[in-house]
Amino acid sequence: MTAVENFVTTWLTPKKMAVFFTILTILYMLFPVMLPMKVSSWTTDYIAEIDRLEPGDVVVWGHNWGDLIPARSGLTFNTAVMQYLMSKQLKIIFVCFSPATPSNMYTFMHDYAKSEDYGYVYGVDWVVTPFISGEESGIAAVGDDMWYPKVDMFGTPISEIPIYQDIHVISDAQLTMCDGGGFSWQPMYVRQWAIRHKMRMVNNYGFQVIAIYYGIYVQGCLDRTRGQAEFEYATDFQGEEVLRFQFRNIGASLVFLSVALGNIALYSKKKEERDTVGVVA
Amino acid sequence: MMSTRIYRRQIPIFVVSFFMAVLLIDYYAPKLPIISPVSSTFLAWGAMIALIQLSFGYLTLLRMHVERASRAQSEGFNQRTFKTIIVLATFVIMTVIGIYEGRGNAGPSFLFWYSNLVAMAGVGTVLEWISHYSSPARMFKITSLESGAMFLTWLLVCFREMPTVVVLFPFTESIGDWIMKTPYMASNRGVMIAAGIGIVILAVRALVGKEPGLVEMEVTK
Repeated sequence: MTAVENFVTTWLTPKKMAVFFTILTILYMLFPVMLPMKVSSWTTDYIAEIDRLEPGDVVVWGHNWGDLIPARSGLTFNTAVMQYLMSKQLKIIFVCFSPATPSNMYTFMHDYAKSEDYGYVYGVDWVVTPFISGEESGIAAVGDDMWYPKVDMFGTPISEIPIYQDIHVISDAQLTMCDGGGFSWQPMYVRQWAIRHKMRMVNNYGFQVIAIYYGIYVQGCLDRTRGQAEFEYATDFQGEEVLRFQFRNIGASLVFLSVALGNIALYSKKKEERDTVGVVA
Repeated sequence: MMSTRIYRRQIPIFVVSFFMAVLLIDYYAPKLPIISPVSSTFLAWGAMIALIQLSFGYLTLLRMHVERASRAQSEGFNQRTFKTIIVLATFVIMTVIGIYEGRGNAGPSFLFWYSNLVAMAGVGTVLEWISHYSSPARMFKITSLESGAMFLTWLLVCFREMPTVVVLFPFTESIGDWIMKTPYMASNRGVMIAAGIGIVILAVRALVGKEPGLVEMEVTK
């Protein structure tokens, strides 16, 4: 066994690596080092799309936050986006495509985005639809008729909700925003809202899922952690993504190190095997 | 007498094809006064049917767990029974609190966010280091030209994800973005075109009864 291979098998065991990274993470959480960063054009486009709106304009935010999404995908970042929208006095219609989404969005607005602090009143400045099933057919149905759900998440008829009075089809809104889901969901929003109704759209999920639509049907994008961190950095509405992104300086370096060590171990083992075969021959 | 194949396969395929044709015409053709309202109605029906399907799925899941719990007395208490009890207990607790508090309630949301969210964050934390540190070390063993090219692509995209590297060496961002905008987008389009053509071929084969698939298996069972 070579020295490198010995080092890898002795010190890079799953348990030791887990302990090491846990300590590193805690240290970084306690003493975050903020290093310089820049803002990409996709994020700049995203912010510009929001900035071009006038106070009182309506944003339709398609969501399918289920059980997994809030924990893993930028809860505090979404808070930053929401607070930015509220600082611009934009009205929000949350359209929910997962059974847990209505309750999630309501909790999100109260406990995280603190809508009351911005003077936002439910029904007047923001509203949450009930769960709309059917995935793409649900998205399409809402695009054709914003009153399709008939009631909001509390069962109040849409005809009695002030924010809906001028919004009958999705093109009555000024911007659509989509988040959550994954590779299959984002193109659904693009097909049924951006293409079908020629709506302007920004994406909160990631460039890779809307790459082929970007610049034509999607006008701005936050490219996962990188874009979300850039949004927080550029707007000064800070969630956790800036810290997470900053940690990538260290995290990615460690990944490179582990890949390099893996390859060194592989090739030193191969060399050793060749040498052994040569000696035997 | 109508054969099983006709009512279990041909008629459903005809019905689905009819709905799809209306939706496709409405999507691609200019708005027509007859088609558009019909298409909107079909979309609404689709969403409602999906809701019923979802409810059916939940009930099936619940039935399975109740059945398993009822067997515990005869088969004894094991790990599966334990999981079943957790599922049923969670279901009962959330239902009771949900009914008690009504829609938009804080109770289920509190339980959902502050138990499920924390649990998922914990699971994520455990898995994260494996996917980020251990997997690349195993994935990116450079053993051939192809694996070398894959490693290089990954490396260049990774540089773009390191804020300080981008600030110090701005060209890394340009290279990473170019990879996403050009080769990645080309391969993405290729996959989508292939999948699209494949779906059309499958659909046509199913329409003319040449696609064996799951429906045929069920029919001939």
